Amino acid sequence: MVGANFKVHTMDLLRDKYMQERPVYLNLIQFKFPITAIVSILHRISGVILLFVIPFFLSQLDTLMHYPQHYSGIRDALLNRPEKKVILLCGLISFVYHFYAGLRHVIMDIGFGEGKCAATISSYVVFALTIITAIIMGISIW
Amino acid sequence: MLNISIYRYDPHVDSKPYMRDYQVDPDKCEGVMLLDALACIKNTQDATLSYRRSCGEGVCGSDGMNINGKNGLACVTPLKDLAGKKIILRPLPGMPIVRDLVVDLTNFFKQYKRVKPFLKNSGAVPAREHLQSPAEREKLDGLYECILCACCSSACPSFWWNPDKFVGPAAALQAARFIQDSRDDDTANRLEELEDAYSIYRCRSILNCADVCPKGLNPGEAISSIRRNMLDDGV
Repeated sequence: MVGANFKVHTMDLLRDKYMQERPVYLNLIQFKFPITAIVSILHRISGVILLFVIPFFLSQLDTLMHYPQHYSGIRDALLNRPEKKVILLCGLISFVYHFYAGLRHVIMDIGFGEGKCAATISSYVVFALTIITAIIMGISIW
Repeated sequence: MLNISIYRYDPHVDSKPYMRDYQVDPDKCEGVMLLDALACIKNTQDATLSYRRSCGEGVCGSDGMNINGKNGLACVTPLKDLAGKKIILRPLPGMPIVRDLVVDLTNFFKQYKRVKPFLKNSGAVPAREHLQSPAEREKLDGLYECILCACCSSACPSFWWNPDKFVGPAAALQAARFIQDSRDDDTANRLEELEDAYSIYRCRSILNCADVCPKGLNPGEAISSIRRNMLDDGV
């Protein structure tokens, strides 16, 4: 019995070693992701962007807390060129998207909208809300 | 004519995988499904082509593969749905390739074994059977139908990155199936064994699993039900 177990174990190890050398097909570009996965991937990407955006905004807020008289100066510095407005808008869109997708995630975690159909609809809702909010923010900035 | 491009790899001959194109006349296939086209290629053009198959009607779950970027069973994929475009067939993602479209499912079944997919009841053995009310039985709908084709687990990014720690959608579905079963009395242990940060909590509910399941099941929802059971039990 011990001999049989040893043999099985040895066979497992040999197979594992053999299989470790085998290729694995994993090409994310060739894989077709559903909209529910795209929402999740963008949630992560927007989170990484926020890692840089939030400290920047907090530093601006900190400056304003100490020197309220600099408000118009900071605002002008942020909005005086179109490319700066675009960067600012991208940061805000990341924030808004991250918020809506996070809210969707929390709602699903509570137990609502976990079905395939409901999750697909809520994904489109996240995109629609982000686009609407982005348009409103864009108009406000320009 | 159907243009089919197939991922080929023979470990004894090829140093790396490559794609090979075939042309198949659907009228010469013995059936109307993608699996029939593969059989046609194997029988008439290239006998070295390897793929798994058994029942040929979506019950055994042997012929899971990546069809035009999405996992599915070749035997229940109608050729008419793929007509007019090039068909690209690759093995299930994230698993070591044995040969061509055949992947090594050792880890997949290791995770399946880990959730103890069998009824555990410490009570007295009944004279005939463990009875269950229709309502209790209904709780198993959407959980028991899994055929273990591995389409879901091999479509799950969490399983790609943590195949040894995250049980994967298929095994989690089986865990939920026995946790929900009124005849099983090992629920507390089952939940405790899955309570770490990886086993089921790696699931981010992106529902790739539900998107590809050929039986229309939703393992993501089953994973959430396990998490709620953990909350209820205070695990």
